[in-house]
Amino acid sequence: MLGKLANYIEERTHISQIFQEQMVDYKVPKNLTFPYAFGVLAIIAFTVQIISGMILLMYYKPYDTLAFDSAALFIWRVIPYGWLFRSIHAAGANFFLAVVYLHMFTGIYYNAYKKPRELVWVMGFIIYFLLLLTALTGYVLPWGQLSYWATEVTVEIPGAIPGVIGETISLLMRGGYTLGNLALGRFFALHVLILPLILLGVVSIHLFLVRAAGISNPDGKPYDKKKEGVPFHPYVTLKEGAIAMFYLALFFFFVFFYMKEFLPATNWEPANPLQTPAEIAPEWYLKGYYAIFRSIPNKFIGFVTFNLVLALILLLPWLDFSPIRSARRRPLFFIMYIVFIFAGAGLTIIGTLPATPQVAKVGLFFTALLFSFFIALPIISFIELGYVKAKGGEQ
Amino acid sequence: MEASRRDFMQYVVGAFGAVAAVGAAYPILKSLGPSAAAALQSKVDYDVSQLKPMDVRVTSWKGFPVFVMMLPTPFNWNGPERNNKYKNHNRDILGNHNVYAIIGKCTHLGCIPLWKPDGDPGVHLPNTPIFHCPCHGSLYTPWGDNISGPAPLPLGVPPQALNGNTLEIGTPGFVKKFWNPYV
Repeated sequence: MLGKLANYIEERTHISQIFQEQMVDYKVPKNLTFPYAFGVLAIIAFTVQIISGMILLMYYKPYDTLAFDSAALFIWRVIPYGWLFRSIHAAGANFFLAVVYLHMFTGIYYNAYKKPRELVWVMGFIIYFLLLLTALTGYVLPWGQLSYWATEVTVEIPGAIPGVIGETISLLMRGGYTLGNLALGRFFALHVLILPLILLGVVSIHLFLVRAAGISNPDGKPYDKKKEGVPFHPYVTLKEGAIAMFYLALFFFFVFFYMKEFLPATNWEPANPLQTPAEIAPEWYLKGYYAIFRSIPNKFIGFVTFNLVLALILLLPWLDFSPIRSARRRPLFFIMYIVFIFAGAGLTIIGTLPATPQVAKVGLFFTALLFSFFIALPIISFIELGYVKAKGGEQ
Repeated sequence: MEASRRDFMQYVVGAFGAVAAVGAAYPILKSLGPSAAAALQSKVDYDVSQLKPMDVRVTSWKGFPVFVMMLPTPFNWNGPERNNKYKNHNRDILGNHNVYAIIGKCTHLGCIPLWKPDGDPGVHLPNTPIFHCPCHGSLYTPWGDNISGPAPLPLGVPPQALNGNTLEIGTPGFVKKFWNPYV
């Protein structure tokens, strides 16, 4: 009976042929390393967010007097397993961004953004940016003290732009002079429908482009697909399937035992627009940018600087025009890559420290270190271009 | 050998995947089921110590409006009866209990009947306690048996038990099974 049904579907869709073409005949380098799995983990994290989000959406109320109770009381206490889905969604956001960061660092390490994969990188950057917006808009929804004030600070940031422009942007984001129902409604719509819908589209384009350009390989050398390639299924699906199981195990370990990190006590108090809690800092995935913004004494220059970092990440394929790919074969690039990671980690840690003048100085130092990576890229590329030419164009 | 090792991987990953799928499906389905608060609704305890004869109090059980009533003892019903399959249906279910609960939802179109302990001259039944449905004029005896009007069946009777002064609605007692005419 099942076989007959399968045949019926097969005859009309040729689904096994599609599977054969897309999964088995699709060859990937056989020397793919562990970090290549972060792409699949990101898809899994996205799926987890969508499923848990759909369940939360059934019970959440985007209205200032109802939002906190619907999240903290109704979802958390009344709905069976509501606490689980809210925990999954809150921790999942952090895990999703962590996986995306690791995915980006992998791409930078193996120079996966170079020709012909520039558009893959650009689409990936757009996903990253939309993801940050989704995280920000979702952050306000529980309407706790931390949600409220972290968002209040965020919408104040464009105010760093001098003149009417900054204030106008802030006003538009809030829909008024205070963060209230208007903003909550807008952020809700953005978070549950508009941004995820765009994300789904952009992720599809990203995946299509990966297939179109072919996957990069850790050695950065062109490879013979017939000789050195292995079928995507079962080689990669199995390996990444196993990694996915480990990822989910780690994820649920945090969901069940360390939720305090993701739902801090401050957020179990309803939002009070007349009282700021003692400590307000953005989530860890924004702390790097936050540290840059805070370390620079002039607010406007700080605003421009952290946006410049975002722009430079987007422009990586053109900053790094060296014909040699992968940090494995580029010692100078490898050193600067370590500097980049070090500066990024340093800034993230500084973002957690209280804002004193000394901390600001250290922050400036790490900002300079971060920029040294972007400045070094064209120089390294120029040196390597000369090296390749001297060797007669051979990589 | 290579193939069998891969087979092993395939089974292990597949098995973990199946466990993960079941683990995900369980809380999702559970979250869609009735909550603990909704489950509380399925058993309602009502204190009847303050009830006087001919009183009707309204409470709620599983979302139904419920009439908790007390009849005087002895009580003689002098109203008309309808000779059909359901003649004295509820009266037989409730036996000789003078404190009981019936569901206050007309079996015709779901309106909530009014309690008229002194009868209703408008429907030519003075001095006869009745339930009168205001929507289309169905009449019921104090036990909820339909005697007139478009109502096809007697009112519902929830399972109930009397424990001292507490009428436990939803607990099988002197009425064991839910007489549910609303399905």
